[in-house]
Amino acid sequence: MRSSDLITIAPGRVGLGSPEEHLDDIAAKQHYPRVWFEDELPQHMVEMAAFRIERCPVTNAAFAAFAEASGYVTEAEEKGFGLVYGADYWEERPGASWRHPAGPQDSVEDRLDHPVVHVTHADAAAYAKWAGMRLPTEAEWEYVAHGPTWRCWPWGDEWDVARANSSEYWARTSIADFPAWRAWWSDRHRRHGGVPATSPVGSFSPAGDSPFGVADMAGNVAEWTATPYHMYSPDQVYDPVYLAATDRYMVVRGGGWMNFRFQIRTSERVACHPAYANFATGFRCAVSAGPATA
Amino acid sequence: MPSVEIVVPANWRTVAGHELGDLSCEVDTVGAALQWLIAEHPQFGRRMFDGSGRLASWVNVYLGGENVRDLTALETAIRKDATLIIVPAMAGG
Repeated sequence: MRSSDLITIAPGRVGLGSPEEHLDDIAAKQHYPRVWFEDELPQHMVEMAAFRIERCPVTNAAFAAFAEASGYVTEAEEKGFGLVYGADYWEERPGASWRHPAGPQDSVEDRLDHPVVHVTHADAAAYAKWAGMRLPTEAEWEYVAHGPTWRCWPWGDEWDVARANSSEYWARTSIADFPAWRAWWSDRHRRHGGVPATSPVGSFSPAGDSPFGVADMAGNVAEWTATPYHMYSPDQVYDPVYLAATDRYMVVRGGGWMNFRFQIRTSERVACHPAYANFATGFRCAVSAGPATA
Repeated sequence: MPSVEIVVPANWRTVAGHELGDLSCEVDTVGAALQWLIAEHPQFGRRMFDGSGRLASWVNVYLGGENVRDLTALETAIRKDATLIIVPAMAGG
C-alpha cells in the first residue's frame, strides 16, 4: 500500500444528506433554484463500518510515481485534450492532461505537491488499485467530511473564506451569483489563463480540517467516489435531469477551487459521467477495515 | 413531425435569466431539436456544442433513456413523440 498518511475512521451512525431547512436557506442565498440541490434529500441515517482514508487528495507527485512505475496513460492523454475553462466556457484544450493541466505550455513540475487533475473515474480507480487501495464510497466521503453529525462545512456551520481553497478565497469577496463568479473568473483568466488554482494539499490544515483531521474536504479539487449516482429515496421528487444521471454517472464530492461556498459543502452532491475529466477534479483513496457502506 | 419535449438542467434557468416556458418543438432528428433550442435560447449554444459544431464532450443527451452518442449522435432520427433530456457531464452543485 502506497500512502504515507491514512486516517482511521471509527465506525459510527451518521446522518447523510442535508436538512430541509438548510436547502431553504441556501436557496435564498444564492442564484440556483432549490431543486438543483434537492438530490441531497432526504437526510437519512447510515451505519458506517470502520475504514481508513487518505488525509489529503492524491498529489501530482504520487500520480507521477504511478504513471512511471506502471506506464499508465490517462484517458485525457489518449484523447489528446483536456477540459479547461476558457475565457467564457469549457474548452477541449489540446494537450491538456494531468502533466500539463492548462495545455502543453503548462507543467506540474513546480506543483508536485498539488492534487492531480484531469483524471477520469477509471484513471482514479487504476491509481487506487496500483496503490493497494480503492476510492471511498460516497457515504464514507461524507462521513469523513462532517463527522457523525451534519455540518455545512468540515470545520462547522459558519462560512470562513480562509479555511478552504474556493473561488471566494481567490476573489477575496463574496460570490453568490453567476455575474460575481464571472467577474472573478474573467480577472483570473486574464492573469493566469487555464492554470488551475489548486494549492499544495493540506495547505488549509488544521483550520479547514474535518472533525477527523482530514484535509481538503471542502475545495481544492472535487473528488471522485466509488459510488454510482443515485437518488436517496424513491418517495422524493427529483429533477428529471438527476433521474437521467442515475446509475449512469458517478458521485463526485467536495467541490474545487473554481467553486463558491455553497458548492463545497459537506453534503453537496455532483453527478459526473465516469469518462469526464477536467482541470478541477481529482481524488483520494481509502482502505476498508471491514465491509464498506455503499 | 413528432413532438419533442426538451428537458434542460434546472440551473440553466438561472443562465437564461428567465422562466423557460414550454421547450417543445416538432422535428425529426436530435440535431434539429437542439438547433431549435439554441435558436430559442442562444445562451445555451456553448453548453451544447463545441467550436466545430459537434455535441460537446461536457454534455450528454438522452433520448428514450439512451445516450445519443451511442446512437447516431445529432443525426439520430426521432420517429415518434419523445423527450430529450440534456445532462451536463458534471451536473449539480
